Amino acid sequence: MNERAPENEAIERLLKRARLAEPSADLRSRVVGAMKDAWQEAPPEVPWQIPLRRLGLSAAAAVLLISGVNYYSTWSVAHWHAGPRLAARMTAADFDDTPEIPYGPFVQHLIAVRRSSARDSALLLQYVGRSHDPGDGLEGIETTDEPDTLERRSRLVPVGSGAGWRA
Amino acid sequence: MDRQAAEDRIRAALRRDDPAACELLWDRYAGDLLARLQALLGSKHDAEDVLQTVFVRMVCKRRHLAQARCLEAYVHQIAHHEAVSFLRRRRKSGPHLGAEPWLVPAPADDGPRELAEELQTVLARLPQTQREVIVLKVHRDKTFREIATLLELPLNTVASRYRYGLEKLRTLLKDFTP
Repeated sequence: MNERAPENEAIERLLKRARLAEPSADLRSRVVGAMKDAWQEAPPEVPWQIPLRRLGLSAAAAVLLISGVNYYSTWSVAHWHAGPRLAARMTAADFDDTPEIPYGPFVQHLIAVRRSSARDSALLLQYVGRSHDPGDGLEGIETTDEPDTLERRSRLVPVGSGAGWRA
Repeated sequence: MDRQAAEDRIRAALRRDDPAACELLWDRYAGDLLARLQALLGSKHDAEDVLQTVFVRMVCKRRHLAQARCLEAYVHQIAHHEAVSFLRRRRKSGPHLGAEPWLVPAPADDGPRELAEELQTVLARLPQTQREVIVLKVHRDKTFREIATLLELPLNTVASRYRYGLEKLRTLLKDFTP
């Protein structure tokens, strides 16, 4: 590497006609005094503490980051959880007048599904009720657990007793 | 060789945790660091303030300093970081107006004060990176290799910064007649 280029000599000579201010003796005593004070006050850094401190800081940063991400994700999906409850309170007719609701068709679909499932459960209840109902040809069947006593049996018209003929 | 011997004495004092290392550090690095800080900050007063912070920081990091591969480069790195953070703080606090001279007429020349002021003005118009290389080369008599070592830059980068800086200075000083 050429340290002395002839074309630079003139400008270098010109620059050398000025010099930098050297550090003064006053500055030296001030700075060396401050250094010695710091030497007494600050214990030297122990090398093994440095990676330990870095590890602690990294762990704290990771915890903060993960908490922040969790909080953000919970917040960002919160309105999705509110959707079905809203649909449960409202009917399809409510949504006809509110076209500005986002995802309107989707919410209407949810209501339709819910209504169809409600209809199914009504049918089921009706079916169960009917099966427990003691009418329709099942009137003569005794469902009580009482013992079949002679007194109770005597109220019945004996088959072939001829009472019917008399009546 | 003297430079190496001085560094060895500093390292030995640092390993012994001997406060005498403070004077050794100052005597070895104060001149170079003040020159670089003046070139970076463009103010003698600010450079002296930052210089004190740099030396105190060296004391706090004395264990690292004792183990540093290149003591001089490590010291200059601390000075560079401190200068950059000082400039950041100064930029936040508003424009810098106090421009006391950091270049003075050379004793051999005893030339007019205007020359030093003019040189300081044109040096201030150079990019910081070129200015510090020129100051270290011209005013501290460092070789390109030494500058490359202490700034931790490739040799060619240092040489080209110097060349471009001088070209710009030549253009700026074209009409100047001392």
